[in-house]
Parts: sequence; C-alpha cells; structure tokens
Amino acid sequence: MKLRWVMFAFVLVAAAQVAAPVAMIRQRAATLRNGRTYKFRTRPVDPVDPFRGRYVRLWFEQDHAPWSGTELERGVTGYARVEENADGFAIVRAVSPEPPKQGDFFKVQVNYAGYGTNAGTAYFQMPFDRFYLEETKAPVAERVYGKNNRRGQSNSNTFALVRIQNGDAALVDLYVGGKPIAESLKTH
Amino acid sequence: MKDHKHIEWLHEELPGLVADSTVPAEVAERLRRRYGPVPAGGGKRWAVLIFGILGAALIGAGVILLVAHNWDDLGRPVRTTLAFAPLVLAIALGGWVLARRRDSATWCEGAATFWALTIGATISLVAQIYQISGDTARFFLTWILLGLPIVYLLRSSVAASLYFIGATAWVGCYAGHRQQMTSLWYWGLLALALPHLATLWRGERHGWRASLTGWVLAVCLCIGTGAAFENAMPGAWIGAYTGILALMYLAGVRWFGDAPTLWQRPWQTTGALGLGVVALMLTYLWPWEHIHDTDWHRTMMLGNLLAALLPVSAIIMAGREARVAGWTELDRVMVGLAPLCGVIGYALATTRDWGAFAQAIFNVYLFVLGLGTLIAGFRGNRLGRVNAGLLALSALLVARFFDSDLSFLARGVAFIVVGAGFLVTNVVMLRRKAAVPA
Repeated sequence: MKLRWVMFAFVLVAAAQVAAPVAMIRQRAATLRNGRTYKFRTRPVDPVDPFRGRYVRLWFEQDHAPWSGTELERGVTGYARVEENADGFAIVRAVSPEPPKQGDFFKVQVNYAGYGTNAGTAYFQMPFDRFYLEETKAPVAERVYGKNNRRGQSNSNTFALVRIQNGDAALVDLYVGGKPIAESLKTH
Repeated sequence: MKDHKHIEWLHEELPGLVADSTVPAEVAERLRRRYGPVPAGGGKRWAVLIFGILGAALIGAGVILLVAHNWDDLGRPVRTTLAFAPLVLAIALGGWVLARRRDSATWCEGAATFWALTIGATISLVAQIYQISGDTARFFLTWILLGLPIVYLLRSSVAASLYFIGATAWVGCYAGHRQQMTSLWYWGLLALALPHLATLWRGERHGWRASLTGWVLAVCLCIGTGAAFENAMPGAWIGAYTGILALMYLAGVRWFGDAPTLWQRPWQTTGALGLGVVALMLTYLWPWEHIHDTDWHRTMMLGNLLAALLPVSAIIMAGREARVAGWTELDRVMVGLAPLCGVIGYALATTRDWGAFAQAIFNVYLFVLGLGTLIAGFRGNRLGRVNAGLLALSALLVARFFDSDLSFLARGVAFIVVGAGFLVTNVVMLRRKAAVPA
C-alpha cells in the first residue's frame, strides 16, 4: 500500500477515534445543560453494600414499573416514562418497548420480569447507578451515603439529581442529607 | 533449518569435533560455509521487541490508572483534556511510526499496543467524568471497533490479539441474557480480523505473529463459542464445541503440522486439549439431561443453523482426511468422529430422551480416541502422542471409577495398572527411540 493511502486511512481512523468520545460528551453535555431536572429517591441500602473502586453504587426506589409491551424478558431494552410526583420526586409510570411519544423518558435494560403478584412488572437497571468520585473521597462518601440510607430510616433528603432529555439521562449530583455529597464530605 | 540457536551450537562444537578427529577440518569448514556465521544480535532483537510491547502496555495501563484517580479538584474541562491527552499522544505516535518506522516490527507493535489501550482509557475516562454508567458490552464494542483499523494500519498482531480478547469479552457480556440475534455477531466481529490472519498465514506461518494470534484466537474461541450460541437450542453447545474443536485440530494438523515447536502449533494443541475435556464432560449424564424439551419457537433459527454448521463441516473435513490418512495419522479420523458422536447423541437425547445412550456413545468414543492416539503414537514412534492417548484413557478410567460403586480394592488395582501402563509404555518408547540410530 502506498504511504499516501496509508496516511489517508490513518487520518480517517484518528478522526473517528477522537470523534467517538466527543460524541459521548456532546450528547451528555446537552442533557446536562438543557434536560429537565428530576430528583430520584435512592432506596435504602445495606451499609455494607458494595462500593466498587472509585464510585458509589446507587440503588433506586423507582427501579421497576408496569411493562406496557407484549413479551417481557430479561435483557430486553425498554423506555421508562418519568414524571414528577406531588412530593417533588421522580416516579417511573411505565416501561414500554418503544419510546413514548410524549413526556420525558430514558432508555433502560430489563433485569428481570416480576412474577406472582408482581407479574407484568419490569425490573430494570438504572442508566445512572454509578456516581464516580475521587479515589480518596470515595470510601468516605460510601460511609456518609450508607449512614443516610439505612433501612427504616427516612431518606427524603438522600437522592440523585438527574437531568433528562430525548431519552438521555445524565446524573448531575448525589445529595446526601439534603446537601450535595461533596459538601457533606467536608463535614466528615 | 537455519535457526540462530542451532547455528551457534554448531560453531561451538566444530573446533572440538575437529580436535578429536570426529570431523575432518575441511568438512568443518564446509559446514561453516554451508550454515554461515552466527546471526548477530538475534536474541537482542527479540528482547527489544518484547520489551517494546511490554513497555507500551505498561505505560498505557499506567496512564489509565493515573487519570482514573479522578482528580475532582481539577474541574470537568481540565479532566476532559487530560482524558484525551493519552489518545492524542498515541495517535501522534502512530502517525510518526507510520511515516518513519513502518518497517520496524518493534515500533509498529509497541505503538499499536499503546494506541489500542489508550482508546479504552479515553472512553472510560470520559464516561467517568460525565457520569455515564453505560453498559459494558457497548463499551467493549466501541473500543474494539475503533481499535480494529490499528491492526491493519500498523500490521500489528498484538493489536489483533487485543481485538480478539475484546470481542470475546463483548460476547461474554451476553451470557445469561436473552439478546436474540446480538451474540451471533461475534462471528462477524472475528471475521473482520481474518484478512490480517490470512496475511500472516500466507507470509510467515510459523512466525511469532501467527503463533501469538493463533493461541489467543484459539483460546478465545473456546470461551466465546458458548456465549455466541447462548440463545440457540438447549444443548446446541454439544455440536458447536465438538465441531469447532475438531475443526481446529484438523486444520492445525493439515496446515501447521510441520511446525517445529509446540508454541507454533496453537490450533492442534488447543483443539486436542479442548476436545478431550469436552468428550470427558459428555461421558457424564448431566449434559444430556433436560435437552429433550426443546422449544423451537423460542430459539433463533440462525443460531441453530450456525451451531449445526460447525459439526457438519468438521465431519466433512474429517471424511476427506480419512481417505488419505494412514495408521500413523489415525488420530485425525478419531478426532473427526467427535462431532459425529455429538450429533448422533444429540439426536437421541432430544428426540427419544435417550440421554444414557448418548452418554454411553461418548464413553466408547473417548476409549477409542485414547486407544487410537496410543496406536498412532506407537506406529509413528512419537512419545507425546502415546502419552496423550494414555492420558485420555486414564481420564476416562478415573472419571468412571469415581462415579461407580466398585470396591476400593478394585479401584486401587485399576489405578496401579494404569500407572504401571504409563511407566512401561514410556520406558519402552524411550528405549525404541534410543535404539534408532541418530
């Protein structure tokens, strides 16, 4: 192959490699700027529950909703329609196999289908279940987060702030005890 | 064979041989001329290549860890710039190597390794900075597809190996998921790197690049095949694995049979070992249970067809080999029987629920395989093959003795007989080899 052609291919490859992460940023930055803000209440977790490396693993109350399609199976892609409740927190109304025509929604993957009394309910993985933090701050954050998220304890002040636009959901911040986690960490 | 080590050995031995009159001086001189001087710096070149690749891999990994610390205080724009820095640096290095050092294997492989790793680093760092959880399968797919052109631009076999590992990690993400057709794309992904392999096989079949990519791909296929057929019929893995492993062995023997070392024979080695393990598994009843209640409508037709294609091609290839194979190549025919037994066993287990019969077929098969390999080894005077045959026979014996109700006395005697068989056969073979004049 002539060097000229090789270099031409090289430029194309390099452009694609830079463009891919830039595209990731563009979509996410637009959602962070213009997306509608929702507060997702985090679900009580066991204090010993996993904290992997440098992120806090988040669990949500709204991780399941009625499935509005026909066949519900593990691994299928769905679209979670989200609204704001009377108390100002987000609620997932339904999960459908096609994007809803109205309202805000985000893409999810069904983890498992409910059975028995929960038949017809889709349990899904939230696309914003990791909150990345600096390596040294992460273990402290886990302790603070765990403390404010114990079973039986009201967790109205512990939530994830998420912006949603065109099916993309961007995690803005994690609030613990009514304050952004970075501020909560300063007092610990 | 003009091998660096052998030529060096010859040059060391010749003065002694001349001194004790084993070889006349003029013959020694002719030998020196025939084989030429010891190639200078052969070992050094290898060291530079290996350390070049290793160094690039370590630097790449180090950069990932350094930025993964997630410097909160730096703010998003600065961290984003930092995340792109390794990729841009790797691209620049790649461009320079392409323009200036295209003929240097060390530069090409080193730069390609660093470049391929930084793509993953940048994507995961951007994900971290912008809190994009994403799914792992998509991350692997983006990474390998963006990295694939490096294989061709820099003609890098390390990048190709990383690509195979990435593709297998991608299909592994679908294990246990119902993704319909998605996991079948594994074969398409592997095919994208085939032109690189074809170039290697045409050029230097026994070179280190062909061996490295051969080993990596062979092991990846052993893992990825099962995940790729996740959604095919229950038990489709029996045909798929016996088929692909037999194909690996037959193709290896046919096209890489003359390779001088084990390192240069990845296909037949992985194929034989894998087939032994799979055949041994199939001598138990559990793989044959619960596969008769196949629900055809819930599985994907294309997956079933592809899974069936593997044993069928292996049987056809083995049939062709059988026509030309003599007693010393009996193992080729034996290996080809594995997918045939798999297909017959599968048909019996699914249509008649005769799992026990299928199990019996594989017990007989493994016995015949062991015996056939043993005979082929004896006839061809090849100790490795003899031991492989013995290993297959003893694995079968051990497996059956552990799940049977025979007394300790009977088991003890059987184990001693097998052990003695190993020792006696090896001693006989070694004596036979020693008796053959060098």
